[in-house]
Amino acid sequence: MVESEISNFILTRENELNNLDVVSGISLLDQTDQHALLSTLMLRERDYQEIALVDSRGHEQIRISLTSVILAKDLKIRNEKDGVLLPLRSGQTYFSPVRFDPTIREPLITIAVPLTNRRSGQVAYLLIADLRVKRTWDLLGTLNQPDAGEVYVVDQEGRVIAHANPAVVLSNQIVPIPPSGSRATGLSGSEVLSVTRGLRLGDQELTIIVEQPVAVALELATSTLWTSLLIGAAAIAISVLLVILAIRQIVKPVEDLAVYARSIMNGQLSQQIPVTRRDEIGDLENAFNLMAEQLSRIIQSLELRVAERSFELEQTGRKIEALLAELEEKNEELEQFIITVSHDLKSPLVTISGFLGYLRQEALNENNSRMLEDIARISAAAEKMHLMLEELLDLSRIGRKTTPPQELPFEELAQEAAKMVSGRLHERGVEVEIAPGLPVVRGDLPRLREALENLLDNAVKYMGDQPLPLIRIGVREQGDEPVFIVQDNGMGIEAAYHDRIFDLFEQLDPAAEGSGMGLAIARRIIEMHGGRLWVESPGAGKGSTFCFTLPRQEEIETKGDHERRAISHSVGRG
Amino acid sequence: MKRRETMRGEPFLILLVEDNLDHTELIVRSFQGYRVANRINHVTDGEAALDYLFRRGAYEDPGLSPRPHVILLDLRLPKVDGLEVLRQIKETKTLKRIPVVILTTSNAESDVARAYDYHANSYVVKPLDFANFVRLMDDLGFYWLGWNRNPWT
Repeated sequence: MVESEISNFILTRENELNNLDVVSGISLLDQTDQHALLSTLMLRERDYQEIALVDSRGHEQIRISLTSVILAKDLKIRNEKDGVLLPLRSGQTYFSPVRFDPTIREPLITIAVPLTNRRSGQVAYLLIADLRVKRTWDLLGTLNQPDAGEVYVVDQEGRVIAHANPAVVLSNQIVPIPPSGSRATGLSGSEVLSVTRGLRLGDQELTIIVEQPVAVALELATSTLWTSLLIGAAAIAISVLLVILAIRQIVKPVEDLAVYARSIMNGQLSQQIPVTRRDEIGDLENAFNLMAEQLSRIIQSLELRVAERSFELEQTGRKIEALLAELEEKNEELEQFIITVSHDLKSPLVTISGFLGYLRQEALNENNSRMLEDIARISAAAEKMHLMLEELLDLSRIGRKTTPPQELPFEELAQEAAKMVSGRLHERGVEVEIAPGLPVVRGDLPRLREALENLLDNAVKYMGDQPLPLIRIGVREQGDEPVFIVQDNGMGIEAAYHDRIFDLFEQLDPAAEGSGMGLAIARRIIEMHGGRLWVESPGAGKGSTFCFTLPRQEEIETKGDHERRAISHSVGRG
Repeated sequence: MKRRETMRGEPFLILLVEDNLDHTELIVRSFQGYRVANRINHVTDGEAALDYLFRRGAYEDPGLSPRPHVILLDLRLPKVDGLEVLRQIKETKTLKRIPVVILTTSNAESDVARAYDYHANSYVVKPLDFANFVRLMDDLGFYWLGWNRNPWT
């Protein structure tokens, strides 16, 4: 840059001078016009100190100076030994070395521009101008580096010909021309980094040297380095930050999802992740939410099923409990039953063995008086046992051997029953009245008839000393079901025994015939049909009324339950 | 046959509470074999027994219901249960001293236990074997009529 400024300056002058002839035709003008032309040029730019027009022999035709007046007598013959006159022969512009003119106290450079005759091609004249290169000084001044660097120009010999500080030029300092870009000792003596640029002006080889103290240069480099490092670091920091942000953008939601997944594992399915993004993370969140929902639904339905099963199990458990309790109860009843039965069967055995003993004695003693009596007792006891066992069997059979339910008017049933016990009725002279308009009954007819027979039998047995024994069979409306009655005018039963008479083997009159099971059996049969059998009696000597119900729409229950229930009712005590 | 004399010189009165007539016959015959003077009064159900002992109803007349020296009581009785009769006897000041011997076919432990709970003095099971039956009756007689002391007279 510096060198182009300088060379521009000089070459512009060269051109300028050349144009004096080419454009203005100075060599053909008369003296007055030549004078005017040159003066104008000099005054305009003030770059020229002196311009002289010289012919081919070296004779000055005209010479103008910036600082002095040149008369005709001052014109001289130019015969410098330096190359000023060279162009006369070479046709090339000659540039002289920079010299310091003591008179004007300025550096000058002389350039000689040949003017060529167009016709002959010969150099006819020379324009020799002394250029004031002070301008370059100023140029260098403007280029002065603020941080103590130096820019200057040296000629071929290393003489400083231009420097911002004229003192340096005036000192005629000669410096070695360093190779460009090297460390050298600068003008000021300190270590510098110098960069050089060559400048050719004709034969002259000028060198522009730019110096920078090493420290400064380095400083610049260092600061540049630091700056780059800082920028680099900043860039890295920023990119790291960005990466972190980016990662967090991804990581945080993923972490949230992980937390969410964990909470799902722990069973909390009700939470939902808020889906805020549409990207893959968002998809993931959506997927999670869906999954949680599905899981929740599955678990709910499973829980429901578990609850149902638990409920079923509970119910079954309770049923089992109930059945077990019933079973226990029945076992107890059975035990009681067996005790009672075995007990009651023992009695006839005692009688039999006892009287057999006496019989033996009587046989040995040949005492006949009681023999027949004793034999009779034994017989009776055996018979009693037989009867007991038969009826027991019968009792147990009730409910097991069932006849399919049939219908029959109660009237008919009663008549049949009466016929079965007619013998005893006749014996005691009992009359039987059957009321008319009795309803139809439905059930196991043979058994129902048996029950009725037992009731009749019982009535006959307990007629006592009733002179006109009468049994009335009828029905009375009581509530929403008919109550059948078997009424007698016999001995009656005291209130205290109204329940006990239905017990197994219970006999109010021990002398009476039978096993004492008739009423128990009758009750069982009625109960099997879903009805109830009870007795009403105002008291001793006032007759009794046996009542029972037969529900209209009944089925014959399964034996098991009812049998034992009846037994438990019958077995009143041990 | 063994002969004994009463310690007191008066006939023993036995109240037999038994519903089975055959058994009654057996027992009565046994006691008749004793030379020790004794009388047996017999009732066939619990209610009658209580009427007798408390001298009410048909037995209001004390002449009809002399106090027995010992009571032979069956457990299975019509109308009023044997245990109930026992309980009432033992809870009545005027009757509790009379020894009550339970004479029954039942050998159920519960019956035995309950009888003693109600302060029965003895519990005897009717044997099914005639020989034993005779012997039991003998021993009963021996013990209660012979050896056992009564608190009165």
